[in-house]
Amino acid sequence: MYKLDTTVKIIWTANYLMKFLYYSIIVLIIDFLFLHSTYVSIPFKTGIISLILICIGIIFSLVVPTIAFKYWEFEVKDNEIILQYGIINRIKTLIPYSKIQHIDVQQSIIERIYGLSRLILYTAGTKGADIVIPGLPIEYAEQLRDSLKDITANESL
Amino acid sequence: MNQDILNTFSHEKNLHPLTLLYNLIINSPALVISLYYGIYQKNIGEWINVIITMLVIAIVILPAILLKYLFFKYKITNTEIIITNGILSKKNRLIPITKVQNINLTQNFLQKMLGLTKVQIETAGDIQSEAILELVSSEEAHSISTLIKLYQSNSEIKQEQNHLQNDNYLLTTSSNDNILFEMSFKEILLFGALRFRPLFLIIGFWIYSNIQQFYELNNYVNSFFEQNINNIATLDNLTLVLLAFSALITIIFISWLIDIVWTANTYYKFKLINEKNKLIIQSGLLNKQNTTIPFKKVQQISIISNILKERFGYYGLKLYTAGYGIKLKGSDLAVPNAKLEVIYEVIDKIKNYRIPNEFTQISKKSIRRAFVRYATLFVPIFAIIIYYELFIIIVLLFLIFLYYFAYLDWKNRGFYFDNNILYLKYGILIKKINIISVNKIQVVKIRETFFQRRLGLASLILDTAAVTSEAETIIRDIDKRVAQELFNLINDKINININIYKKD
Repeated sequence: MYKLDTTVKIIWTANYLMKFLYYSIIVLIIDFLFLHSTYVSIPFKTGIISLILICIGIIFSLVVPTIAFKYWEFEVKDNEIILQYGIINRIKTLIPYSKIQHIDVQQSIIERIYGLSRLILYTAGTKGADIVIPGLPIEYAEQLRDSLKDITANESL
Repeated sequence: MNQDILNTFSHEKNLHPLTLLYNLIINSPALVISLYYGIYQKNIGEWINVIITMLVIAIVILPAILLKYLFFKYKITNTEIIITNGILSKKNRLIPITKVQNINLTQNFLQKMLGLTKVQIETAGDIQSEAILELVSSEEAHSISTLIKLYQSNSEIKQEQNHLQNDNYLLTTSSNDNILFEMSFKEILLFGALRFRPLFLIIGFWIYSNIQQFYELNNYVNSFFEQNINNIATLDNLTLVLLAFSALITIIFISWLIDIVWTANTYYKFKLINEKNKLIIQSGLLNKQNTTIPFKKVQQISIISNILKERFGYYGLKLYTAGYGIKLKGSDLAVPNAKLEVIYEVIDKIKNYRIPNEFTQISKKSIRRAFVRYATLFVPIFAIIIYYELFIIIVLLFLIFLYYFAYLDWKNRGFYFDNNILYLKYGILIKKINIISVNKIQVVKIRETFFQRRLGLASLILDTAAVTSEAETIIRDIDKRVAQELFNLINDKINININIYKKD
């Protein structure tokens, strides 16, 4: 079983922080525009809810990535890839190489700074079947992609 | 094939002129509705609406229909089908003859009256590459179909000379020997009677309310109510409940009758035909349907039944397919209604599956989990009832009922894995046996939720390329160890199959 690169924690933290910031801004706008009118009025001052949300977000994004990292494992075998992840619901996924339709390597801006990338395996399955392996060094991800390229599905569905 | 016919299609051709009339009728339901209300209600104000609708049709719809007709051209050569259309932006679609998987000829009631046919040319690719000729005359449709098949068989011969293994498409004639399953009219009526679809209950309600508007009897009922308005207030609860109950029974009866008629219309002369590499389903009285299912696209097979059908010993066979062609439905009834032996026979002819008599049961702890799951759904209602101290007995009875439901859920669930094929049995009111072949499985997952982990359970999730999520592919709440074993077993089987495939 391989572990992900440890720097992936920083990326997850940044992602969660951005997400929480985004939602708190939306909440702030709603708060400012609608929640202090003559019809609706809440007992907090404008911005308090957003502040609480950001506080929760900071704690969440510091704690969750560490735990998630602890449980994230993957294994590259001769004929298949096996992933294991999940904090509350633990999931173990098997992707046979022969079922992979195509492979992507993606990088976001933050990931590019740290030289990491995500490997995305697309299968023909219809229920959440695009499998993402985050936090792989870009060289490793590209190497993996190239080595898998030849053994993926050559049969159309 | 007649040389003249070949020549007519090798030049650019327009659709049949009657298409104009057909499109006009199809595009003007608004006119019909406003005309209806204008005449029926004898209201002068309504006539303005009719005039406006007429003007809209004259200015917008008519030229659109005409231009669309004039700019639509098609041509069939011995290598490809070319379709040009588009009023403002030109589109030129080119379909190589060899890529054509299937030609569907369909007719609805109106088209039948006008002697027109809709030709759908399906390819193996996505929806973008389909061609629809709407509409050509029936004779033309048949010659198009035979012409394409002829061209295909010509190029097929060439291809076969090149490489012998090509088994893409072979021209076959549908002879009667290939019929896998047929339904007599009596069987179709029986099928309709046993169906009970909830959707038709809504239609029943709608019709019931409409009948009340138009029915003469309604006046009597109204006047009766008006005369006895004082007496009604004195009626006891039981009578009122009985009145409501009788109305409900009437609605159910109406919807049941409509369901039967509707089913008879859709499944009239139902035929399941087995051709090389594909299944063809034909049926329909007013709207003729012709569905082709390539074997390759079938992802799962399901034997379905509801408690009523099961009591009478009737089952259905459903095929779940991957997305292809113009159909996005993803499931087809291959056998609507038949005895179990007949269905086994059909399955045996399609694929060599042997349905097991006994299934492995899932963990008994599942009952507890299902009960808690159901109960949490009703917690808000229970809370209100208990808070106001209304009918606590009912809550208790309901909980017992829920536990029984959870027990049934456990009892009806089962799985069996044998010889590359996984059989899943589940369902309380609608029962299904879902059959999945290992080489159709794309991704396998073991999921342990927080609560499952505490009980040492896990669910095995199998993902296929079937479009609908209608057929479950989850083995719920089995022992963690069993789940892991199945996980490894399926993995091994997939790998063995790959190796066989590679050796070939």
